[in-house]
Amino acid sequence: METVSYTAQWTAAARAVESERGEAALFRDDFARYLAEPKGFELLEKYKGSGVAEYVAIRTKYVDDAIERFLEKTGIRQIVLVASGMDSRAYRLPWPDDAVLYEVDHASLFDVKSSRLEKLSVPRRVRTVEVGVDLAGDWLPALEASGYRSDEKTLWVAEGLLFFLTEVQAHGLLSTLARASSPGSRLITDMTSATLLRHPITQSFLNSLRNDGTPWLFGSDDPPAFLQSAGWTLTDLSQPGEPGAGEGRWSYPVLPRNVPGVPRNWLITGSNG
Amino acid sequence: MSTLKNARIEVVRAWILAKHPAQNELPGELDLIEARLVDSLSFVEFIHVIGEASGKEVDPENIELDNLRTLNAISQAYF
Repeated sequence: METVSYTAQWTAAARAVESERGEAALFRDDFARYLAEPKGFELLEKYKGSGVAEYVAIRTKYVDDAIERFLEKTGIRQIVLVASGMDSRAYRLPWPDDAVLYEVDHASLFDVKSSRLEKLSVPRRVRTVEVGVDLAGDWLPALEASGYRSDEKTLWVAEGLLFFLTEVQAHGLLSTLARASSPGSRLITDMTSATLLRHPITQSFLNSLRNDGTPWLFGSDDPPAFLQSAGWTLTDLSQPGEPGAGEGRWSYPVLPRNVPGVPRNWLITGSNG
Repeated sequence: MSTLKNARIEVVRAWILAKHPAQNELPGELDLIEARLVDSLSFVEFIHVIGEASGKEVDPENIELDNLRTLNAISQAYF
């Protein structure tokens, strides 16, 4: 697998741990434990105390809720998970009968994921198309060749992805998504703040990620402006711990957005018109 | 160390210990960041506590991390 795919196992490990919190769990992903091996729990332990596990739990719930809300309210039936990683939403969320879910990621990751989930003999709950691509290249033609319709409204989900890209790449990706789908399409994504990337307190965490071959490169202190410049209008901007984004679950203070110098994470939804 | 300095550093020590019940003691030379007693998510609250204790706000945009690594360093730089 690609190095960056190990971070997908890390995410799966965080989801597994959250799922096993019983009634307190924000969601249940019974597949995550199978998808987290071999590196996921090792990375979770290595980066313990960085807030990543809690953040992933809150983000997963935020994305789950946003997907369900958008499908119900907008009538969108074409969904694309960009860099889907070890996502098991095809198996665990309720989906409309006529929905089509495209999962886009490295082909090698799908091999690993499929072989593990097939052993569980659990059916998907939505028609799913796996699109194996080089995520660093121009993968849109491959998505279109798989049946994706750019003249339809789309729900794009780019979760846990943007910080691995450069600013130019992140902007290019969001611009491409805005152009490659009809007006009225929606976006669910997350990013870190630029302040987090340059703050002295985060440097040892960021150095470890760099040494692991998965550096965080991009963040924004002004997500609405960044989205706007890429063709998206922000419809929600939340920080972990705020209402609708893990309120009561986040064990750190949630600081008002006007407090300067604060490392932050942003949960985001947008629309392209 | 003056009584005032002592009183101020005890405020910071108490704040950290309250956050980490498993931590029994907090030697003045312990690297708080290395020991993960202070991390990026609690950091702003941490410097707020130092600011409250010293009576002078700490500018979050102008921080020298080495002044914040240990209770002794905090005492020297801020109290």
